[in-house]
Amino acid sequence: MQTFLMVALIVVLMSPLLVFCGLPLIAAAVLFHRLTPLWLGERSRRLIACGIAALGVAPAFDQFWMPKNIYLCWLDGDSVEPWFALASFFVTWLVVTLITAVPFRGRRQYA
Amino acid sequence: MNRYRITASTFGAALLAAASCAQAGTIAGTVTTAGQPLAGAMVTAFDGAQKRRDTVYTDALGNYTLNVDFGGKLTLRARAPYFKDATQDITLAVNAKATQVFNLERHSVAEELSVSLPASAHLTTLPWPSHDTRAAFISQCNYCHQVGNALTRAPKDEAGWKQTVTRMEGYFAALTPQEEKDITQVLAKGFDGKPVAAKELYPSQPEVASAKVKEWVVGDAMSFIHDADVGEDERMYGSDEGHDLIWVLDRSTGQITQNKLPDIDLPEGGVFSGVQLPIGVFTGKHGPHSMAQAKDGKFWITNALSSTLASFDPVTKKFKLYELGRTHLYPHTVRIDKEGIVWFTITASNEVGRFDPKTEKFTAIQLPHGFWQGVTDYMFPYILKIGSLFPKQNFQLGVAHHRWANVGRGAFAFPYGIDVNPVDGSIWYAKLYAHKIGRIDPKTLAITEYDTPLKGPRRLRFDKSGILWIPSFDEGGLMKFDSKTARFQTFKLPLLAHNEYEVPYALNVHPKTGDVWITSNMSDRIFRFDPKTETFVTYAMPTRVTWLRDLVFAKDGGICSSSSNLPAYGIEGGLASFICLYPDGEKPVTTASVAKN
Repeated sequence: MQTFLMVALIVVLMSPLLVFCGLPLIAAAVLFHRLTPLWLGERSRRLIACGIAALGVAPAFDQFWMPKNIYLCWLDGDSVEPWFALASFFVTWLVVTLITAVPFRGRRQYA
Repeated sequence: MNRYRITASTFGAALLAAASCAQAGTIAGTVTTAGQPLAGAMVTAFDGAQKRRDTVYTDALGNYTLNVDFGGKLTLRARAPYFKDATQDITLAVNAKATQVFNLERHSVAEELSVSLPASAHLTTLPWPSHDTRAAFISQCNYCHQVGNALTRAPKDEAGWKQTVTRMEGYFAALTPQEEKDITQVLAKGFDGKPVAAKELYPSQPEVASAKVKEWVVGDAMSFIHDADVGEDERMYGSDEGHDLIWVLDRSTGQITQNKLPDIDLPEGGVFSGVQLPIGVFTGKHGPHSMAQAKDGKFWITNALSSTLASFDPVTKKFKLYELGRTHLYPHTVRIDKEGIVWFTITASNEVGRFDPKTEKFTAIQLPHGFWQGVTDYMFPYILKIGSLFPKQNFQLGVAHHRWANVGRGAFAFPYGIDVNPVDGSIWYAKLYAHKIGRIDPKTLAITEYDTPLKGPRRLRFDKSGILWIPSFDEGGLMKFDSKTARFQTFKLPLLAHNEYEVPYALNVHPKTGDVWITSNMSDRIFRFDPKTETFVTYAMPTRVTWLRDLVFAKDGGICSSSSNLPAYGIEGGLASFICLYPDGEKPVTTASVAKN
């Protein structure tokens, strides 16, 4: 439990860096969301956009629990277990979806 | 002060009496090989309990004379580079004279020869991918111990070395992820268990023949006597950073006592409780690191782990603690100026501390920093505070910018050594990782910094004319800095073989001769540098894995230190020691010499 709390805290503290390093894919996600209203419903667009962003942000961890974006690990030639990459991606997707749901809901209410 | 003088005089008389009584006997003889005299061989007498070691060197004719102050059953050992050790047990009666002749046989088996070589030789064939990686290795992996000795060169596969390197990073080796990978691979490839073929050249220097080395084993296999000092009472005092102890050695009787620092409301590891400090070695809360004696006889001790300063009265054995505040991380080397002000570096928060014992006022002087060093200076105390919620889990490494920003040890400035300029009273410090020295005006506290021409300036010292001598840990050099003209001059330390290196940790300038004494630490030697002739004399140390810290001068001519390789069980014999080198042989301490101070 203590380790879990520590890792969670590390992720929170390191999240600005993860987001910064994930900017190319976050930008792609925003672009996707902007370009696809004619073809997809808002819910689907948002889920896919969050998935693209999650691809950029999802972290792997080194021996000190320091997070690093999985796609950067792959670009650097570091190995990441596929099952871990998948799990990390889904958890990140969920988190990104939940976080982005807040401003979307606020925007709808304002409109 | 008068009371102290009387005490010192009385003690001096007792010391003289003890010294004369303690003289157990003399062993003399020759060391030869194939009928020829062997110069520079070391003849060591071990006492029955293996707690004492006295060593002398043979002269050009292979002769030696060893006066020992311990008798009974002794073991004698003759040792010389490239020759097999020879040992002999003898019984020495009080005031008796014994003769012992050794005939040393040259090593003929490559494995045996390889084992006899110092750590420096075992590193010559490591396949470094770049100069930068080697530099990171020298700076970070030799920070507290040799690499390449029997304990640290055992062959391992890459996974095994990764585990070791990871553990070392937990102990504050600040490596980038790439450096970590490269070093792991190099050690896995380089330490393959095959004998090394380094051809070391030990210079034949007649000055060495008059020298004597005395060692007193202290503590246990986990003791970490970081620094030692010789008090005005000629006793040696050693700060055991791992166990919160001050060890005291009476050099005249060999008696060793210990003084425990008072408890403090901190967990094990002190402010650094979130860090996985070396297992078994660091079991305390204070981490007493360095010490300096004030005119009133009190020692001032920097407690690295508890962010406190302590005074220790060697007469009453009482400590007094002074809280510095827990954002001031790792109080380090300490010196005292003529006014009695205590100055010390605060390594991990890039500060110099000023403490006035009269007013008990502490002032922290923040030193200049670059961008990433500034991040460290501001954030590190808070990171450690959060980390203390997760004891020994190394939380700090999960967010460490030296890793994610890829700046390695450059994320820290690490003010390390400090000294007082005897000419103008200014305070000078060395920044180990920023490769700078700096001056602090003691009145205005204004700071001026200078880049050093060689990297890794560690524990610097002034000579009496205001010349600053600085060891270059990272580049195995000696720097001379004229504080009046701000000009540097550099010297390379003598190596034993091609591609070896030295990591000079500390130096000190002899107050009478002006010679600069320097620790080498990779090849079990001590250097003496003569500034007039700009030449070195090297003294091979009798014990393998001799890793020395601060060098201090005793009144009896001894150049003394603590042998404090981390861990102590890596030292030959498995224990730390107090050590004194007497370049002109041992002279008894006289009553007058003790009382005059």
